[in-house]
Amino acid sequence: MSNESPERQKLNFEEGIIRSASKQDLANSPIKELKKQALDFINNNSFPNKKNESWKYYNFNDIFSNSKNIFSERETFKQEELDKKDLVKLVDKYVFRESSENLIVTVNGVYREDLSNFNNKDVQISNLNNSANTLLDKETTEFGDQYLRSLNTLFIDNAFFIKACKGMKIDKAIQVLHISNQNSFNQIRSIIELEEDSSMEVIVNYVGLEDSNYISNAIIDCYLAKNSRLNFDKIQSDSKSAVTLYNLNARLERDSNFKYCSFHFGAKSSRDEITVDLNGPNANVDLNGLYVVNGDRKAHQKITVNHNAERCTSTQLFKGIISDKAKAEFNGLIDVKRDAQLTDAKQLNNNLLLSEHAHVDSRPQLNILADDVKCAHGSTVGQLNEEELFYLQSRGFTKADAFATLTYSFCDEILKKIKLESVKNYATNLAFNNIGNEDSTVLAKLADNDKFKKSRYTKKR
Amino acid sequence: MSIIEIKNLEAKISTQDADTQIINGLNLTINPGEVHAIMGPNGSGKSTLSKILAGHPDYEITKGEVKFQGKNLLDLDPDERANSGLFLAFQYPVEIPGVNNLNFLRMAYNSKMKFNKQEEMDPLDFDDFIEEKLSILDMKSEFLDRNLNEGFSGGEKKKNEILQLLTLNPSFAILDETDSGLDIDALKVVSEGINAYKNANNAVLLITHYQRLLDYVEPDFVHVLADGKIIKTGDKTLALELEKGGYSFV
Repeated sequence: MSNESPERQKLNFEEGIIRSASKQDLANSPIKELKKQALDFINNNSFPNKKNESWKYYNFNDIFSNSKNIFSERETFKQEELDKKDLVKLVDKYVFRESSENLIVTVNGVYREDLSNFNNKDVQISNLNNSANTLLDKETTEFGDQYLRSLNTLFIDNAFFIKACKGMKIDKAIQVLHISNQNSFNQIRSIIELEEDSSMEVIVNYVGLEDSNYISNAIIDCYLAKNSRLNFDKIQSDSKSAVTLYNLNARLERDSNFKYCSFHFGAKSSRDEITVDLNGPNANVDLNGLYVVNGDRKAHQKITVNHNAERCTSTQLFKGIISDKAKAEFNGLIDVKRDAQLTDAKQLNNNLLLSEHAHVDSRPQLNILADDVKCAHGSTVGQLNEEELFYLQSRGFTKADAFATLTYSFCDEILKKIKLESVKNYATNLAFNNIGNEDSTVLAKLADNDKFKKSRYTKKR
Repeated sequence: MSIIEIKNLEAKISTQDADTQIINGLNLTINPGEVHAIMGPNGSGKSTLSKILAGHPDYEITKGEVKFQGKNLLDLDPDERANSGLFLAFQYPVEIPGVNNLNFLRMAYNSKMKFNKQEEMDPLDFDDFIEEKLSILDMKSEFLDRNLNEGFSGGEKKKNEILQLLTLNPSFAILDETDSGLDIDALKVVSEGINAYKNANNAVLLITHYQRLLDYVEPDFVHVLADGKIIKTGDKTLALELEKGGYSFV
C-alpha cells in the first residue's frame, strides 16, 4: 500500500508518462508520423481532469495509485511476463465454445498469434506492422478523448484490424480475448471495418489476473459502410483491482446497423466512453448496457450519439445495479444536428440501488437543432419493489430467492439480447457474483428458460 | 383440528405520520371442508386481514394469536407460511418481467416440495402436471410461455392466481377479491377452478364485495367485517340480504 499523497502519486503518474514517452523508438515504427503527433500532444497537454465536464464525477486517485508500480525510475515499464503455459490455461478458461475457432487473443494489448485460433478466410486480420497504411491513417483525433487516444497511439506496438470484405456475411461470431496482468499499462487498439453489404458479429472480453493492479486504455474503432451490419457484445470482466478506460467509436454510413451490448462487472474503477456518429441516412444504432458494481468500486458510462444525417434511428438502454458503497455514473447525450430531420432517438437509464450508501449520477441529455424529430429520454433510480418481493415470498420463494429472481428480472432485458448462450451464461453469473447472491440454483433455473421451452416443444412433437 | 384459528387479533399499520389501527379484536375459526366468505364495506380491513395472514411486512400485530394447523402462524416468514400450506390469491397480482410463467410455477411448486422434504418435480413431468391444471381453467399452453403476469389482462391475472392455487394445492386458500373485474365467463371459469380445488380436507376464505361469486362457490358461513372486526355471522342467506339492504342494514 502506498503512503504517498494523492498529489505525489499524480505527479509520479504524469512524469512516468512523459519519461516513458520520451524513450519510445519512434523512428522505426511503421506509424512514426502518427506517433510523433501523439507525442506532441502528450507533451503539450495534461491528463484529463475534473475541469472537463465529462470527467466531473470521476475519481482520479484510483488511476494514480494503480500507476505506482507501473513506472519505475530505470525501466519504462516493469510489467511481469506471463508464462505461456499459464496463458494457454487462461485462454481455455475464458474462450466461448460456440466460436472457439474464431478466436483472437491479446496479452497486455499485444496481439498473440500463437494463442489465437483464427482460420476464417472471409475475415482479414492483420497487425500494425503489415498494414500501416490502413485505417489508422484515416482516423481523426476528434474521435473520443484526445489525450487517451494519443497515449494509446504513442505506446501501441500493434493494433489489430478485423475486416469483413464487401458482401461477406460472417456467420460465426469472432471473439477477442484481452488478458492483462499485474502492473501493466495496457494500450489496446482494435479496428473493425465492415465493407458494403457485409455483416459480422464480434464478442470482446476483457479479463485480468485475479486481484492484479493494472491500467488499461483500450480503443475500438468501428467503421460500418453502406448497408453493413455489426453485432457487438463487450464484456468488461477485468480484475477487481484494475482501472479501465475504454473507448468505443462507431461511424455508420447509410442503411447500416450497429447493435451493441456492453457489460461492466470488473475493475475497481471503469470508464466506458461510447461515441456513435450516424453519418448516412437511415442508419440505425441500438446501444445497450449493464453495469453491476459492489464494494467501493466505480463504473462510469459516457455515451454520445451524434445524429448527423436524416432518418436515422438510435436507442440507448442502460441499466445499473449498485450495491454496498459503490458508485455509478450514466452520462448520455443524443445530439441531433440541424440537417438530421426525421430522427427517431430514445434514451433510457434505469438504476437499482441495493444499499443506502450506493450512489448513482444519471444525466440523460438531449441537444436538438433539427425541427422535425422524435426524441425521448428518461432515467430512473429505485430499489427492489417490496410488493413484488412479498408476492414471490407468498409463493414459497425464500427471501434470498425472491431477491435473486427480481434482480434477474431487472437484468433480463439486457441479458436476453446476447445471442450466444455461453456468453449469456458467463455475463449472468458475473452479474450475480457482484450482487453477492450466491444462490446459483435459482439463477440456473431462471436462466434456463429457453432450454426448458425447447424440451417442451420437442417432447410435444 | 381447525385449519385456522384467529383469536382477539389486533393489528396496525405505521406510516411516517401516524399509526392506524386496522384490525380490532378479530375472532374467526375455520375448519376443514368449510368455505367462509367475508364481506364488508371499503376500508373495513378485509384485504388487510388477508395480507396479515400471508405475512405482509407492513403490518404490526399488537395483540392476539393465529393458529394455523396447530402451528403459531405469526412466528413464520411469508415463504414458510406458503410452504406450510397457506395461499393468498392477490387482489392485484404483480407483474414480473423477465421471469417465465412456467418456470415460476415450477419453482413455486418445488419450493414447497423441498420445504416439505419431498422430491422436486423435473421440468418434463411438471409440463404434464401443469397441462392438466390448465385444462380445468380453459387456458392455452401459450400462457405458460409469457412472463409472469406481464401484459396480462385483469381477467388473465386472476386466472393465473387460480392456476397457482391448483398447482400448489394448499390446505388453506384466501381469495382476495378474485371475482372483482371479471366478466361473466371468466367468473364461471374461476369459480370452477375454486370448486375443483376444494375438498373435505382444505378450507377457503373468500373476500368479496359481491354476492354473485357466492352463487357459484357456495359458502358455509358469511361474515360481515366492519371497523376491523366481525360484527355479524350468518349462512349464505346473509349475503343475499346484504345485496338487497346494503351494509347499513346490519
